[in-house]
Amino acid sequence: MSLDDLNTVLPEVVVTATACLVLLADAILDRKLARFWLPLLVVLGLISAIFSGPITVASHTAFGGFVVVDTFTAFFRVLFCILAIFATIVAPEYLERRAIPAGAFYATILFSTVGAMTIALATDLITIFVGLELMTIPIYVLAGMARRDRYSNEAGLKYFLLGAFSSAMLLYGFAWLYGLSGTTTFVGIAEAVAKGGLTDGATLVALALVTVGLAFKAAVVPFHQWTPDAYDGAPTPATAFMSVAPKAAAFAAILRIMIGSLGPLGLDWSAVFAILAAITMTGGNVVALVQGNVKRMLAYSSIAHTGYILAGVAAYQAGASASAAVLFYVFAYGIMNLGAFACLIYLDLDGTRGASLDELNGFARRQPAGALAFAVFLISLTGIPPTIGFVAKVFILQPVLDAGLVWLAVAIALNAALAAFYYLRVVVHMYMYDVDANAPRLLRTDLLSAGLGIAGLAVVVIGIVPDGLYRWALQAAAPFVR
Amino acid sequence: MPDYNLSYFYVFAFFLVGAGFVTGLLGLSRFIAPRKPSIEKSRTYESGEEPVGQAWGRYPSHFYIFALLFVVFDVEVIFLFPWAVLFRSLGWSGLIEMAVFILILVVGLFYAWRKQVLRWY
Amino acid sequence: MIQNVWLIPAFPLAAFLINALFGRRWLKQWTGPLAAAAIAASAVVAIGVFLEVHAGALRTTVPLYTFISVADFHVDVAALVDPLSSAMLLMVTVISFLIHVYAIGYMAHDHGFWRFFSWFPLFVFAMLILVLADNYLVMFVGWEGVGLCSYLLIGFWFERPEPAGAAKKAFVMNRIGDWGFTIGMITTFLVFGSMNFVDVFDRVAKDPPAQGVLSLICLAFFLGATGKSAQLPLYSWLPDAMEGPTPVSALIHAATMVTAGVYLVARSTPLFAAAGPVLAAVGGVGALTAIFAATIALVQFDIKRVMAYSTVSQLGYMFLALGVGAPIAAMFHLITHAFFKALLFLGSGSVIHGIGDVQDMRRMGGLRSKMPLTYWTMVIAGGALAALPPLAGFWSKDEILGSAFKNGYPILWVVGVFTGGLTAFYVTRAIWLTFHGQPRDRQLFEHAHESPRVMTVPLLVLAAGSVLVGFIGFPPDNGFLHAFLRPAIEAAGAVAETGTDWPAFLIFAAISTAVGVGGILLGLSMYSRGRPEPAAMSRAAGPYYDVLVNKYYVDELYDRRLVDVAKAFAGAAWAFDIHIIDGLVNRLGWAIKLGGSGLRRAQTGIVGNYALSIVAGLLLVMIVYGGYATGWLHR
Repeated sequence: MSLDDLNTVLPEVVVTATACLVLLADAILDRKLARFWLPLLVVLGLISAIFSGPITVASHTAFGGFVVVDTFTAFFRVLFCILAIFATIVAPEYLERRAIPAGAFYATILFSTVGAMTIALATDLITIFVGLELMTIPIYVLAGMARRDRYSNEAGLKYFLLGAFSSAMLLYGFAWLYGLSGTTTFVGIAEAVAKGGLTDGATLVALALVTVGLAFKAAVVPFHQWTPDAYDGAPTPATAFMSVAPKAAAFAAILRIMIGSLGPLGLDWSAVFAILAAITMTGGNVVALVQGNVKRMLAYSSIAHTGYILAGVAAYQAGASASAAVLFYVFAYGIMNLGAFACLIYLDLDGTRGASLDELNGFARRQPAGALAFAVFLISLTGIPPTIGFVAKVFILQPVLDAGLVWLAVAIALNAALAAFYYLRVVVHMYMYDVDANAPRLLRTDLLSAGLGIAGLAVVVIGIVPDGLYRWALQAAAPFVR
Repeated sequence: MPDYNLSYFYVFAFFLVGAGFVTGLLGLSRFIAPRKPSIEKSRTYESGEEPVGQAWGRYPSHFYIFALLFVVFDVEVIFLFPWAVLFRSLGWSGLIEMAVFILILVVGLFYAWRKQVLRWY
Repeated sequence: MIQNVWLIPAFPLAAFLINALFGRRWLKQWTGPLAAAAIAASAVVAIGVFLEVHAGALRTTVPLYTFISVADFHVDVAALVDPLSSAMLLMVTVISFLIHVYAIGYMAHDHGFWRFFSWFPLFVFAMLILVLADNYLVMFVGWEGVGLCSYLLIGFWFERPEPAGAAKKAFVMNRIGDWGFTIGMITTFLVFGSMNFVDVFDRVAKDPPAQGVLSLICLAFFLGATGKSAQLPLYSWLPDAMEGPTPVSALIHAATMVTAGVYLVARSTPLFAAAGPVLAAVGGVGALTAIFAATIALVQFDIKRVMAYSTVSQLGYMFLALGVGAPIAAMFHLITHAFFKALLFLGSGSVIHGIGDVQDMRRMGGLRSKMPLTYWTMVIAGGALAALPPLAGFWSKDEILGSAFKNGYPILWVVGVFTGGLTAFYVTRAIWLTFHGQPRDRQLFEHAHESPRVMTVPLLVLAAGSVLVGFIGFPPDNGFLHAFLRPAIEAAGAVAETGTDWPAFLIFAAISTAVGVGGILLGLSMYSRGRPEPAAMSRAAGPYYDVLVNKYYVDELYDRRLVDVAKAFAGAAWAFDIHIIDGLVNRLGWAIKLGGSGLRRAQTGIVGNYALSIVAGLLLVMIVYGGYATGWLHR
């Protein structure tokens, strides 16, 4: 390990060091000081992590070819840090109210962020697997963090069991890939599969196992069933984070592996991905439609969004615009979905339960700022202009059409219309209905409001001027263009 | 078919034969054995003792923390051995790397200690 | 400055956002000054833009907003700055600014103050987008925005049923017009492959499509214009729009909204010029509307209604000008009219405000002594409306009438001159009934008071404008405005430069002034001397009088006949919708919900089942891959 190696992964080192510092500070400081300093420390650490890495770089490998830093890495590093910052800002008041250990929460988020960043760094199966595990194991802990709550325990345990199951599949797939090509580097695997194609059983098994393993991490139907239970049971700030960061990381892994190393088999897997995308968006939306609980509804909606993003992956033959669309959508989804879940934090309900539709009645009158932010996120999730969600859908549709997947584009459009129904229903409940007599109390949440305000503004502003972000996404997608 | 793939065929064949053997024996016993269930017979076997309580009973799980810590430091030692063998050739950078590695573990231990995790009660 | 033209709509938009977000809680009474300041800033930029255009920047396309510009993918919105739009910008911002200042005083005691000053700058913003648009689509966005804001503002006092109804009426009538605009826009796109003004007009000049298609487009756009600019047959929302607060009426009638139709046709001059017969229809409709509305205005007793019909009538003049091929005269009249009509409205508002929200002229009278400033400014505005030289209205209206005659439409000229007489009469009547004679309602009179400074200062500024602004068109046919606008419209080959034809001008001016003075004298003698007695006159006119008082029964006609027909049609459509479309949708929704419930049941909560479904999924994926590999499935 040389200094250059260390310098290459400096942002990851900074985040790790921050996590250690947070643990130390939590152990040393008394409760009052900790309440103020811990979130501040986390945010400062993450911001310095963003600025310690390059934004645009030529591809640069380190650690003997285990790690690469390119524009793609830079994009995801910034995205993960932003998501972690956002998740940290919305959490403190909730954690305080529920007596969830704040230091452990922040440190867990930070460790998970390091894992996610590692995935973006990977040029090797081993790196990517270590990253995946480093990201998901803290997430299992996050899901079960409300120790006294049964649903939280259930969420953590279920996620852990199924996650381990799918990790095993993925690892098995990796083993087959190694067996096929005799190497674990993406480049070597790409060369090996380019020679053989999808003709022998071994490649078939490897491809299927890898597809399923990654599909699980991204919550693709029919490998999604852990999602609603885990999202619903986890403490809401944890849900907000785990609904976006692991998904973004899963798509980073999908792009790195499927395009970066299994690209030669693209014709085969993209067809399967297109089918999975259609099933996923439809399945997620259809079930979301009948949910009365908003948190669970958002969990299903996040499955539907996986479908939209997967459609962008399936259209990878359209070239850079497809990968860029995936990156843009992942970014947009990260902000709006995290925001939407975080809006549920306002309601002071018992346990980790999310609000039912009726409990949101008249929310706009009780908490105008929060309701406005929620409405903005929901409108963005629906894909109505002028929000980032609309732009993201447009960017996805373009490569899907370019790749000749007209039926998939139609499916996306139909699904967007279907989704409008349940998203806007929440808005209707917030704005049109009178407050119920037994409406839940509201948390005092200045920090949350500030965080949501910034995110809501970002959703609208990027929705109006998406140019810069899209250019950046195009740059970040450059490593996948041949 | 190259013998490389042929070897997988053998594995698969073994898998089939093994599965068939077990299913066959179990099915056979079910087929020919007399079945006269009684309360005594269908009771949980607890090494000859009278069964107490439900199988779903709870038990204190404090030990898992020690188990966890044990595993952590066990793994640490696994990393330490090869490092110690190659100590001279790895030089200063090896020493610093190992120091960082152990430091991270120490932070964890310190945190656990301060959070009263190690207290027995 | 032209590159910063985006600031012009940006300021009102910012004012809207700030007031809407922070108005109720924090800004409160500061929303008014803030909105006014924003419009003032826009006006300053507009002056800069105007000067730069005058200095020779004849046509600049400024990107306002780049949505995406990556490699092969460009979506952006641009502003077209040329003499036409810069003149409009200047007029809209300046008049709007004065009305904003006035409204601070007028609305001071209204509990919806912040709400008012949220919508008000939004209204201006929409109008500015409409003016700045470089293509029909963006213009349509502004067009709809104006419609929406007018709906919100006319129905500002939505607690009362009349404003709510009036707002609805305005909205529906405008929607009919918008339908025309949409048809025109889509047809334009289909025919020309672009909605950009520059592209479309270039195509018309070089490679014109069939006359019929062109006529269809122009007719559709003209239908849109009649809706927005309150021409026959879609005019009847405008008088009802009086239910809104008076500054709203002023803004709708003078600076924004109703001028949009005129601007649309003026902007599309190359299209209309190429579609000959339609242009004549435009002139005919304009003339008809002018005389039609003027006759109704003769007998109204609600002071704001008189002004409203007067606006309809004056807009008729503008379309008449457009129809006879004098778009510059139309724009000229648009600008002068903006000044004196804004003044008339604000003056009426000042009266209404001063005597406690009474609009019926039969309860006024003798108010001259109580509110002298309002009186004198109203007289100036009235004179300008009646086209007395040398006030603003004289120059522009005379140019319209002169053009009508010279371009070969003597009948329209006669109608215009006669309408001028009617105009002079009804404005004299309105001013006399309001300010002269004996107070007819003692109690109101006792409490009457002059309006505060914040309202009278805008009146004075507008009065100065009503006197002076006519001179931008002096000498006739060859003034500053003509030189300024000609390049924008001449590009289409529609207007040629002509010098001032002094003898002709003097003759036409003399005739119309004589008719106008005749109208004034008749009004004075009827209402001050009682010769002939107004009541006797109305009795003598008998049924004709009733027809006028009831506004030609147009509302009744629309209500009884058209609305019934529309309702029947709507009923049929509704039935179709409920049984066929909704039936389908409901079935579909029901099926989807059923599917959702079914799938939901698959969510058992048992980890083993989940793992099983993962394995099943894995097998399916393997089968599909295997299918591809063996060629059993096709990709």
